[in-house]
Amino acid sequence: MHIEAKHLTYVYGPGLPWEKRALSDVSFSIESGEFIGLIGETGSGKSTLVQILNGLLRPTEGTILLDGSDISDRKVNLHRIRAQVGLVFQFPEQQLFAETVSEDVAFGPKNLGVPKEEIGKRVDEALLKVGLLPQSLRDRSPFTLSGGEKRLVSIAGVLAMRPKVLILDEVTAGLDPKGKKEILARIQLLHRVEKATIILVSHDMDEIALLSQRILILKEGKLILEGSPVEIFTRAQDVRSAGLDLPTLPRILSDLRCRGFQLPTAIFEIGEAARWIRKELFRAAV
Amino acid sequence: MQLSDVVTIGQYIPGDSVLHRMDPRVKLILNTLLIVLLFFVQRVTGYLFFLAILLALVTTSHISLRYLWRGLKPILFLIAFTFIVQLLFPTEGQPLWQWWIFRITDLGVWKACFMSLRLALLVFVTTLLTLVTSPIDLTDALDRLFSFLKVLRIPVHEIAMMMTIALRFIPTLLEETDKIIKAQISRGAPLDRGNLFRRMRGFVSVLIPLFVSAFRRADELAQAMEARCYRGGEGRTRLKEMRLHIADLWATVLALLFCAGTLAFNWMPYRWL
Amino acid sequence: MGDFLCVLGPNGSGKSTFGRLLNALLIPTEGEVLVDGLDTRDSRNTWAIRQRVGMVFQNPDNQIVGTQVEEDVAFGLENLGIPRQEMQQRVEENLTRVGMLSYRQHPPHLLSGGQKQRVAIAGVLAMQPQSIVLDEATSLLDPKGRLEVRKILVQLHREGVTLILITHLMEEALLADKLVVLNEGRIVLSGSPQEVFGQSEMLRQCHLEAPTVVRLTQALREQSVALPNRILQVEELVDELCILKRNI
Repeated sequence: MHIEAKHLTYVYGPGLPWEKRALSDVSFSIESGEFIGLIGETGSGKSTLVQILNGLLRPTEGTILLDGSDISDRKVNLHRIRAQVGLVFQFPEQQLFAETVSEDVAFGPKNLGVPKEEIGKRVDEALLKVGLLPQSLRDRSPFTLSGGEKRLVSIAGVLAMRPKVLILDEVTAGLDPKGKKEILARIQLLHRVEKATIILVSHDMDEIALLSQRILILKEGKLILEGSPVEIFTRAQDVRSAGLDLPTLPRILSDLRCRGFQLPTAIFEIGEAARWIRKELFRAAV
Repeated sequence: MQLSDVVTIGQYIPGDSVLHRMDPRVKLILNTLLIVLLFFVQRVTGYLFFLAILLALVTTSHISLRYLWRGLKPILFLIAFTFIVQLLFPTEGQPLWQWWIFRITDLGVWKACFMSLRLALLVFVTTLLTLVTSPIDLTDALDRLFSFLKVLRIPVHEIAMMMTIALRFIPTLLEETDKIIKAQISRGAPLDRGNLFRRMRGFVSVLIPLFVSAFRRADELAQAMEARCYRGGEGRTRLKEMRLHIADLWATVLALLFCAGTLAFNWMPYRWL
Repeated sequence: MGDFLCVLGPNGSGKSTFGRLLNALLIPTEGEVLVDGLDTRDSRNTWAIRQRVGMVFQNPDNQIVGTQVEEDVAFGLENLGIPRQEMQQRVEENLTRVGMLSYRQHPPHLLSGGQKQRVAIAGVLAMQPQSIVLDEATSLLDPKGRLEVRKILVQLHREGVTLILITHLMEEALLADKLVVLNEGRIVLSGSPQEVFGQSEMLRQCHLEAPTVVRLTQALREQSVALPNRILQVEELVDELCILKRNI
């Protein structure tokens, strides 16, 4: 699904003394099947933006086009939007409520009016997509699962609505390294195998850099930087001005470059970095 | 729209006005006095005097009238309901209009106006009290004013502590409710449409997570309190001292004058106007 | 005394249980925990132990009792029955220590996550404990909040407060001078950060990974670049490499 945002502005409590401009004049476009990293400090407008994309908030000004149709139009059926753009909130496991896993995952499609026969199929399919076995989980209470499993079940709950775009807000927050790795691997699979358009929202540069094809950086409601990870990493100063920092490896490399090391920009791996640094040291020796 | 934007009563706005600095016990007693007084007021003049004093109080508190007005909004329907019931089912007065079991009388109209005004002023006064008094001061004041009940084996301290915690968590839980509602709406939850049964299902999807979370919070909070050596009211000291200031004395004197004034205006014969 | 210990381990490795055993929130089934010579199994010691071992929890929202910052910091002191004047002094002193004095009248729900945790730390510090256990106290914070809390930890360590930091964030482990790695309820590794991070195979089994700086240093050392073993920070590594480049 192609997304195009034009001059989005959102103001909380317009005209009131605590009026707050959460987004101002944000424009961007996202191609079908892209993996986007949306990053910014707390209060930079990330969550406002994703809520607009999901139709939970209407922009104060500007338009959002999904495959060419304007969802900021008042007449548009928000329900259809929410089925197309799935939003996984931060700590989604806190929204689990049903008696069994399958009932909870079925909540979304049921609300959309999907026929009964198909719901079961969708539930199994969604659970498989996040790497859970439907047979062993279907009838268990979601509250008895481990933290990581709960989170996967709640992601399945959104996937069961078969969205074309999947937005994930701080999806690894509070998980241990193992849980983080598993969930990020699942999301990468969704992108590669299912060709889903994915928007990963985070304030953690490391995980954004690892997966995204393109990174959007928000600061105080404005889109201040946009580009591929490599492009972003060459602009350490701009990134820092947004209150963020590069992931450790690009940071080391960027610091070394500043101190006269000649290193290529596209290094993503520790072994690779070590080889280039060694080469550079010996080049100096010759 | 955030839920906490709507609910004003119980919210405290820190400030440094005379009203903020007064002893919470005095504020609580005077507030009760004002409410009792309100039930004695029967005439327009009395209400006008009451309203004038109230506006003076709001001015001293440095809190915008608009904020107080918002506190009134959620109960507007209650006020309207009172008005209509009083208007359509009067017990006395000359009938002005009649249809089936409904009847409007001249006295009924007056009474409807007074009753709804009384209700509005009551909420107004109480909202003002909570806006200028921190919740913990309020519960502390309750704790101390009612400590004589301990003799009757009523756990006054525990009740006050529970109230403090409840007040502390209201904003947190409002925020959380807001978030859960949004999340379930984005999963298509029928919270704003469909028949009653479907809506009920929608509310279940909000209430259950909210309860689960509240229990988890309570559990964690209990641990955190124990870790900080909480063991009931025995042997506790307090950070906030409650000492009567000159301001409290003046406030009491003014309040008594005010009561006398209101009652005087209230019982003043009409021909004096 | 004055140690900075970091307890690492995946979820379910028993690190939180370990923390709760230290201040008698849990009592050992077997074995004993002695705090300042006081046995946690003896319920008469409970309050003395909890005053000595302060605890900061994971969720900033669920450990703040007061409806105002200073009231929350005073909560522990009220429980200990500290006289009012001393209480006011300690509240002020410790809010200053964590840089939150100007927020003393604020309601907690208007603070950021990092600020809430700093208030929680001030509340524990005010009780003048000998050591503080921080149970994943930064895991729910954003990077800015984490940085705020870490700065406070470094400062407290300098001031000589004993710190026990329970975490699964490797960058945080770099702050400590001693690490313990738990897995499935057992201690599998312990020692200085250099010693522990050297055991990459064992770490992998516990689903942990040494911080990037350490791994890059290891990779360079394996390729016979003459770097010292003690490097833990980005700046150190960059400086060392620049020196090498100049000297070759």
